[in-house]
Amino acid sequence: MTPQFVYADFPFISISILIPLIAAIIVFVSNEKLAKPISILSSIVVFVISSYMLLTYDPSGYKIQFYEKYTWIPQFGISYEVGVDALSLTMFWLTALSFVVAFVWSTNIEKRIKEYFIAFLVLEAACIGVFVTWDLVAFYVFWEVMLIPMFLIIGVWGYSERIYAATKFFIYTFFGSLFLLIGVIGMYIYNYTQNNILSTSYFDLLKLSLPHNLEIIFFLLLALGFAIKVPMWPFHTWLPAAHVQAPTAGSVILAAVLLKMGTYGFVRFSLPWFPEASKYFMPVMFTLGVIAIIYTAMMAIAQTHIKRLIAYSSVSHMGFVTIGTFALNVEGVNGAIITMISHGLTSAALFLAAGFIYERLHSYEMKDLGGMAKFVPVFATLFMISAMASAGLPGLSGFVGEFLALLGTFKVSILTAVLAGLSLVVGAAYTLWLYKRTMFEEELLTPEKKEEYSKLKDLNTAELWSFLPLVVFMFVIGLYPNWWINLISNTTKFVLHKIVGG
Amino acid sequence: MEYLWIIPFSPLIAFIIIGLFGYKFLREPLSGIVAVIGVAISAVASIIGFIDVAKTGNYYDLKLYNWISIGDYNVSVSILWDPLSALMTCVVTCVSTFIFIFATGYMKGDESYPRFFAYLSLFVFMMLMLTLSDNLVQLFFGWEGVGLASYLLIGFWHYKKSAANAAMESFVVNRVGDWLFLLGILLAFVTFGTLDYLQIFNKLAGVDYVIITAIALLLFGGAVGKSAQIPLHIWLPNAMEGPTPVSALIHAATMVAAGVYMVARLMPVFASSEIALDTVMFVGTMSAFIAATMGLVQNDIKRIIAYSTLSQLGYMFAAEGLGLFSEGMFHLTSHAVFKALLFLGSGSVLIALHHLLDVQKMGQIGRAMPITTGTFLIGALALAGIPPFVGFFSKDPIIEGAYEINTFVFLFLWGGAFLTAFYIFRLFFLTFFDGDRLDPHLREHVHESPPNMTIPLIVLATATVVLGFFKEFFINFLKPSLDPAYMKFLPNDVKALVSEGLSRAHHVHIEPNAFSFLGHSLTSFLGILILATAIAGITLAYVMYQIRRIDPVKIGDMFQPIYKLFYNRWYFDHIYYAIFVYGYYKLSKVLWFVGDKVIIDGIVDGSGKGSVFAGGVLGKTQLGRISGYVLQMLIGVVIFLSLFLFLK
Repeated sequence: MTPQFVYADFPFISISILIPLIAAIIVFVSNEKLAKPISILSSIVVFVISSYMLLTYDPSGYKIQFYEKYTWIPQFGISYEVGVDALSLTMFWLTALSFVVAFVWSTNIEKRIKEYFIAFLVLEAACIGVFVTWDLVAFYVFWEVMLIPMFLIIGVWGYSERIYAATKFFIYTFFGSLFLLIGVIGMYIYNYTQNNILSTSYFDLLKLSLPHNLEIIFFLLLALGFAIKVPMWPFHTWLPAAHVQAPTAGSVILAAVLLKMGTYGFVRFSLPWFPEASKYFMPVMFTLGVIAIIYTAMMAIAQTHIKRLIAYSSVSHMGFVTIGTFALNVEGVNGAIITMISHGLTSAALFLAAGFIYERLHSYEMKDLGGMAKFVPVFATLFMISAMASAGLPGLSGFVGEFLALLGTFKVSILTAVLAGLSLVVGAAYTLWLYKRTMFEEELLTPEKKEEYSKLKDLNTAELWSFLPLVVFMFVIGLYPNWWINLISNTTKFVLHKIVGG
Repeated sequence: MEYLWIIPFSPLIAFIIIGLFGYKFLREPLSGIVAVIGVAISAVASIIGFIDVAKTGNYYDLKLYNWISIGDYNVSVSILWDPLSALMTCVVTCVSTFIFIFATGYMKGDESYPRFFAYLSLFVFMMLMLTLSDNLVQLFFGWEGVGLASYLLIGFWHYKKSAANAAMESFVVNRVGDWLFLLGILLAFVTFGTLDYLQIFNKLAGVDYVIITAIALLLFGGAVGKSAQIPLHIWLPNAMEGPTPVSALIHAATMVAAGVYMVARLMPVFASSEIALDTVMFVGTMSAFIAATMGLVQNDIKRIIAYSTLSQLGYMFAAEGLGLFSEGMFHLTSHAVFKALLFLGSGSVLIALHHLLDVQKMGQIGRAMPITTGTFLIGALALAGIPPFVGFFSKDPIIEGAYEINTFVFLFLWGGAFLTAFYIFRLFFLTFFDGDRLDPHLREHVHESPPNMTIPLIVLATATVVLGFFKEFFINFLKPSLDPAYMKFLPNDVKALVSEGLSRAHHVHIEPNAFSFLGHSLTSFLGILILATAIAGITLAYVMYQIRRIDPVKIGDMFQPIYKLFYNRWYFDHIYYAIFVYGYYKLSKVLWFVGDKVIIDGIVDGSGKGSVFAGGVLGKTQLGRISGYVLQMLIGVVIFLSLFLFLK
């Protein structure tokens, strides 16, 4: 299966990377009050572009579309090469959507408003860059650049222990990326020694056939970088810390976009580049995936801090992506990709919910919460839908991906599917626990609290409009997943072409 | 038959309308009226469809749209309309209609009135997606959907801690069953390459016995959760925290019967495995008996009826396990009617007594509310199995069938029949007659309920009286779905397989005609025995709780250990709570502390500190740590490059 390249008539992708950067410059030179409108506007433009690309993408065959390639440093075979297949495109679209949500939500930033939006805009450009680029140098640059604004977002606009969390986040992911870098350099050098070609293009390295030992080593180097990003157990402890400290919009991006880079890496690089190693490590990945699903579901229910609970739930859901990916069949990988999109929507929505609760009651601790449902009915409804989507209720987005991932897994390992399926139970337990402890049990409130609650305001316009798109797409994916399955199927087949043939 | 799509979507539209405009425009009572209209339309449509099927015996498989593609197979949203689904759909929509009408009275004045009717409509939509599905995934969609609706409605008064807990418990316990159910679906797909019932049936003959058994048992695991059979029964009594119309509709008449329906729907699969049938039979029998013993000694009016529901569902499963699928489905229909009647009757009592639940504190309210009392009596007689009420025609044949097929099952079902008659009349006498134990303040306000509550009672009571006489029609009507000889869509080899599976019931002849059955029952030894048992149960209840010749307290003291066992519901709740709630939660806490905080973070932070030490120069600043990692990276690069050269 060889990819075809469909060159872009109009450089949509480059423009999408540039828009946030230009917006960042405008914010930098303009008035503080304009920072938010400019950011929202630019993110909406990017979202419209990504949606247009999503709707005009041709899912037949495997074609890299909206493709642009310019030579950059020919001596080292480095070029600027962007384009999308369905995997890139859905992740790009998810990123664009998440940033709209994050910007619209960011109403009451108290300090350094301009810097806040600049950090997010730079982050947006880098995140998009990671998903659309096919040149490994550019990929690695975007991958690393992204860390800096995220580090600042947690470290500057976070809560009391933000410095510890930001440092942990930065060091941990940076640590992982170094292995990724070593792996990529290794591939580059090996390609040169074998074929006498200097190229950092994804597709050139794809043609390599590696000796078994080397394939294992490269797989491990890349996998460590990705596993920390996902994060997979036992590399996950940076995530709860980062989420607990990050501001709401930061958590949204972290959960919806950044985590996807790890699993994107597995699907994009590990499977096509290292087919034998992927098969070889399938049992390991299954084991880690199952541990992630069950162990972190237990972690989640042990929490009293609602953001930490949601953070652990993310790790648990990413376990499904891991096992789906390493089922190494079409159902599994399709399921993994749809779970990635779905998790982007649901985790973003749940972090918005946590943010909403904090803004009203000024606490993330369960002991200070509860009994809100009656006073904020619209919020309670959207929160319930998001919680149910997260718990994998059929008809909402979570079910489709997890069903396909489980089906794919079941075909290769019944035991893994049986254990992973337990998430139906433990996942429901922590999700409903979260909902119950924040929304229900009004009778436990003291009279003073009830008095305070009766003044609570339901979702305001900005909050509603950042929450609503997520919920709408939960229904869209849940009720009509075929459109998405059709979109990604050929990409999935390409990803697997060295493993299952075809 | 295209109009059939109206059946599920009419309640859905009602749900959307009430959901969007309920609080702002419709409020009370318009929201309720919209919901009633929504469900009434689907009731009318399903009756029309029912008549069509009854006339022609045809089945229709309408594919509405493709939902999920898995390779070459498409999971579609569909409507399978055959006698079985037509019957179930009619039961759901007709019973729902009357319960909805009742609810417009019951929920009067509740501040969340629109929300209640929105949830109810959502429930009916989901339930119909379940009954009308032609494949396992849509069934699962409805299955989980009714679970959601049930969760929302049990927790309807979520300001109460008990309601919030019960709601969560029901969802999570159901999910245990759903986990098995989903695995069953996956195994079925891997085995058959399809999830459409008819295609699965076509391929049954060539499949390994072990795999068929595994699929059937896994799917039955889902039924055990949804239909609250032992050992996953504990959520149902607690589900009585929901408003009474919910208990009547979801936790008695329809949703909990979904498991029974699913087993009947997949009859060819279950009939292909003897082990699966035996399991269904055994679980049903034990649930029928054990739940009845739990019901003996409870004092909460709704919980007694809930235990009775568990027990009656057990009878249905036992019937299916015995191979008497039509009898099981007829008992489902019959139970839906008289149990809805009993629940609505208790709802009427609750309204009169301001939600007093303890039957020990009631008494002598019968005269003040004659319609409720009269209709409740009819329901109670039906449950006890007294002719000519429908319960007699549906329950007695199951016990008689068990006598012919399996003595063990017979003994428990027969014993259960005695207990059933006893506990429901204990409840009846304590509530409506006996001495006056009622609080004088409440006594002043006891009154009969308004017409929108009594009319549904009268309609359901009438159905309870009449329905039994249509049994022959029902049994014949169901033949194209449940009798292999009449099932047009089965290939011959599968027909043979299924007939063989059902052969355990071949020598049993149950008179379908109501009059003949009544005659047989009054003349044969077995018939008289079962009837006498029921009458004995009623009489004992009368002696103990009405004329008080035997003191219940003394009996309780006499059999202290057994009484305690029953009263504590065989300690299921205690054990589950200790292991799965408290135990799981504590284990999670410990794991979090030991696993994540001490071990993993210990290593992570420790290595951070270690590299700071190694990095040395910049000491304890944040930059120091980063430099430490740079050092680590360099070490890594060196190791890697040496490996690289080595391999080269």
